[in-house]
Amino acid sequence: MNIDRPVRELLVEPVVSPLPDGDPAGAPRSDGPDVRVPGPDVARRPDDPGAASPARV
Amino acid sequence: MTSVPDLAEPVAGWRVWDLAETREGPLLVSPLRPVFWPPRRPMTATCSRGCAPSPSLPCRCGLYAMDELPRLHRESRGQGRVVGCTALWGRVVEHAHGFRAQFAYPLLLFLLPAGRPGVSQRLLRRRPLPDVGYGLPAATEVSSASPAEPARRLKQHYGVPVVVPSGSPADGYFPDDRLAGAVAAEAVRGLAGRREGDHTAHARFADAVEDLVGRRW
Ligand SMILES: [Zn+2]
Repeated sequence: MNIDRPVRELLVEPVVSPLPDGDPAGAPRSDGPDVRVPGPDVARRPDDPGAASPARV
Repeated sequence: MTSVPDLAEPVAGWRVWDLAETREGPLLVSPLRPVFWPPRRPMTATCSRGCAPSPSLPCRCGLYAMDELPRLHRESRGQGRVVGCTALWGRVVEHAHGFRAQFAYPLLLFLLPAGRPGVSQRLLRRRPLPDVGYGLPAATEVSSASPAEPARRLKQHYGVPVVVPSGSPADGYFPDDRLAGAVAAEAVRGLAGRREGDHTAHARFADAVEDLVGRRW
């Protein structure tokens, strides 16, 4: 996927989950970030060292 | 280049996935690497070169999406079983024709007919999908000829609209550009609405999908 040259960095607010509300399957899991309450500090969360390490996904 | 990123409005982009079948349900898999996008949790970028957070501007890491569906159509060259619009957030590097993002989750998926190239069995054999608690067996390509049942299960698993586009082999079965663009615009409006505390935004997005696509998903 050729997206061409980088232009600028953005910080997009993680205020709202893109997931449907009220779905119990979206409940927090112990092995990953909580979809429902990403919180304003999500952009500062360190990478999960146990996750796969794609250069591009 | 500024070292302080801008705050930005909701961002959405277009991309393709392969589709793998597991005991827990169908999974969206990156066509580039055997990494799956988890259902009902954000996909999170990581970087083998150590960017923290990923992506960083000078690197090539991150979750990739293109800015426009027609461009993705030209670039994907028949790759992928699923085409979709995905929300992007956190740290986002904007490119001339797309984005690399820290977090992503699909907003709307188009399931293309079987017979197109599916998930790379060669890649899966070389490096199995990571086990993140789903007890995944070896994943296999979703090969059902009829898209209705896979579409239903994909929608159920990821909790987002899944549409079977009425395309043709000549156009790679890609969804109509204007239709898909209108749905994506509505998806971004919905994200903005929900950010502002509008709890009806998701229902309005669902209604808009139905209006634009012409069927209940
Ligand atoms: Zn990196």
